[in-house]
Amino acid sequence: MNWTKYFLISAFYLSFAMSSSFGAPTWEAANEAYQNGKYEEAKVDYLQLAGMHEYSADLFYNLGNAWFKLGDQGRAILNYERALVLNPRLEEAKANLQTALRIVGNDDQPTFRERIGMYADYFPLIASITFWTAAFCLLPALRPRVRFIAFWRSACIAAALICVGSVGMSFWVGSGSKDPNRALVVESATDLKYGPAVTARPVESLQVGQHVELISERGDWTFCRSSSDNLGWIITRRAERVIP
Amino acid sequence: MKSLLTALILLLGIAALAVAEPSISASLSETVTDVDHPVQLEIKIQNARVTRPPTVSANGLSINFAGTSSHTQILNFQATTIVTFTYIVTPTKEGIYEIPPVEVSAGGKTYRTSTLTLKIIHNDSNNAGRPAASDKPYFAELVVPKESAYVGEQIPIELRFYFNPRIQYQPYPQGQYPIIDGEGFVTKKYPEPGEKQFELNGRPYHVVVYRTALTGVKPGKLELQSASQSFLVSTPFGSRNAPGFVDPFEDYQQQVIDVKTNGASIDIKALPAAGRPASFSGAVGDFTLATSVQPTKTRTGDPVSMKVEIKGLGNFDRMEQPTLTDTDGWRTYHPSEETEALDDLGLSAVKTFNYPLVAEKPAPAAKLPVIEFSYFDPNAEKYVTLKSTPITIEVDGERLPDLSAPPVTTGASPPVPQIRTQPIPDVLDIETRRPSPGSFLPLVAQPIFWIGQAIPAGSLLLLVFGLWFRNVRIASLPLRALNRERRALWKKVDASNNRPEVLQAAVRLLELDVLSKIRDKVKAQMSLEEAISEEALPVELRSEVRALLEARGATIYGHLGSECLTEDERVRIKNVLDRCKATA
Repeated sequence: MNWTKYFLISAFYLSFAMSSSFGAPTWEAANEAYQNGKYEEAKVDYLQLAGMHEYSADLFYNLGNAWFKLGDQGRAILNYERALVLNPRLEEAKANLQTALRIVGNDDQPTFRERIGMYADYFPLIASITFWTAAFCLLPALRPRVRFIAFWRSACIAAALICVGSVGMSFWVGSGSKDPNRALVVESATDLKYGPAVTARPVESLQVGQHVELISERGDWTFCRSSSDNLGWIITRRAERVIP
Repeated sequence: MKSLLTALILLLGIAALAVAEPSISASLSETVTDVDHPVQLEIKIQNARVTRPPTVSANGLSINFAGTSSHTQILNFQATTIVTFTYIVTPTKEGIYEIPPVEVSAGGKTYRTSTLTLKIIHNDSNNAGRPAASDKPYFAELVVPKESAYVGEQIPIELRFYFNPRIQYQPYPQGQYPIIDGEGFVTKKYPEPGEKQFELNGRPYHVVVYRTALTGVKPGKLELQSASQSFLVSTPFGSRNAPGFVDPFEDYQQQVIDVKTNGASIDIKALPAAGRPASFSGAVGDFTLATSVQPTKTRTGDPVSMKVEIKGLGNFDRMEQPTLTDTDGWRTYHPSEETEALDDLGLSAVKTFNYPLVAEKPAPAAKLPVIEFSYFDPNAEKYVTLKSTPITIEVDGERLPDLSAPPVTTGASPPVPQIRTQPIPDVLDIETRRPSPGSFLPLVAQPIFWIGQAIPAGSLLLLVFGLWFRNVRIASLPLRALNRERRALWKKVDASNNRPEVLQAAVRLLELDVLSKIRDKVKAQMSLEEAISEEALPVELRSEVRALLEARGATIYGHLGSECLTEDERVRIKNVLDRCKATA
């Protein structure tokens, strides 16, 4: 009796899992739709893949291309940025991002901190590697009668210095491009306003692809700081977080 | 000591009981002041519990609450609690003003101050003709050099914020730039503001100057209501010092103020439709064009770079790439572009376009395509078209096959030069490889990072433990050797029937067990015989140990006695050994 019950439960879960996986789009199907010029279909498939949290630089790069082909340069830029957050060395994403930015007329150059922020994950990595290197070099450096003691001591000091520098850079850059409050303006004619109302006076006109830092949300409006350090309100849907 | 404390507490208690009647008073730090010089108003309330500052207002004066302080004093066993409310009174106009009595309710009664009078005078009698704005300690003006401009024309403007030299100021929050109130225009990013000394109507001012450029985006009346900027100012009150004299003990009142400029109106005119060249793409200003090519000798199929420099004053951010004409014999590609600002605002700049060109056929003097660039000159109020001077270069090699759809070429002998259409930029193709997963979490927030840290941490721990264990083992080597020897000796004593061997083993055990302990105590080298004579062993044991030593000597060196050990003797030897061990 018990075995029958377990068999039925397993069969139910298996059939459920299989039905859900049959309904899900595949990477190949999305790519095929794109290559056949069915950009809307490709976009929906890529979005569903992203909705399943199967994040990858290639997925967002392809999704950016689909948006680009559909004429939405704002969301194309957003997804190229997402691709670059996941893989800062994806040259194709860099090239397409430049193309999309040129089309929308956004020629703002990223600041030094923003450029460094793309590689924010490298600093803790370097810091941890150099920390352990210094720790391992410290053992022979402190022991008497060890061969090449000058080498161990120099290596320990050099690794410690690099570790301190990397930790400092890590604090300065913070989460960098992975900052969850970082957003991009994705729609044109977006004004940063003094108050959360359409009738409020504009502080600054924001360009498509311009970065903003989201501070707080109130209804359909978001209080944010623009890249030129102005504070104000924008309609929430006009800016999307880079980190989904 | 205890009684002293009790007396003190008692005294304080009595003092607390002897509280006097409430009273209120008001005073001004100065009764005569200048229009640009705030004074301090203090309202002191004695012996009444008042927490909210009373409302103070007077016609013609700006009065702002600045803070509260309170203290208690005991004089002749009389406790007095004084709460002081401080206000900053800022005069705005010349004249004599009265601050009406201030009312405070306490304990069901209402108390009121007396009326205060403040006389506001002009410090300088020779400035009757100065602008009204300069009467204030701070003011601002918006300087717009033109009353009319064209759509897309950049208008440099200045926002000047004037401060009395006695006022300390800084933008608030730091790094905040002025906001211009109005619609239908865009501005450039502000460079760092400049600061200078300025004299207006004989009065010195510190002036903060923000510069930017404004561009009207649609025709019509462009109304700039004002520009505003917040500053954190420190205003001195107390005695007025001579200009330039800095009193380190002077009191300052800090407050955040919003300084607004005057408004302005600009008539934004539409660009004329008549005479607009086909190659016009929105550039407005005054420009020059220069071209050059590298290298000057090439082969068919090899690229040459034609550099086009557009220099001048205008809206470079709206400038599109110039068009190419007479492209016969050349394959042309999308140029790269770069802008170098020549001033801090970027009004004056050089924009460089680099066109990659590939020659299709050989020629001793091949003419490069001609660059055509049109712009609207707002000063001359007309469109201007610039064309590059023809450049020839030497081209060797074979003629390239004709492409089915050459990028941009005109006919072999066109009657009218055709304008090169702008290519629609496209993106690179999608990636089809199997995507490798990534994470938007910062590395330090990912578990894998910390798992990765555990590997070297564990290795380091193991290494340190290994080294410690090795050192301990090395240090315990002699001890372990002794223990091994001791076990072997005991084995002999227990099991061997060879008498000399057992005696030898027993003496060696005595040396190991007894002598080593005695050595630890007396810290000196000695033999077993010396140890016995030194009375290191109890009396009853000495003779037995000595007998054992003698038996060993007789058996081994004298070859006397039996070679075989009896069980009685073994028991006796073991007994001696056990007792010696216990004694040691």
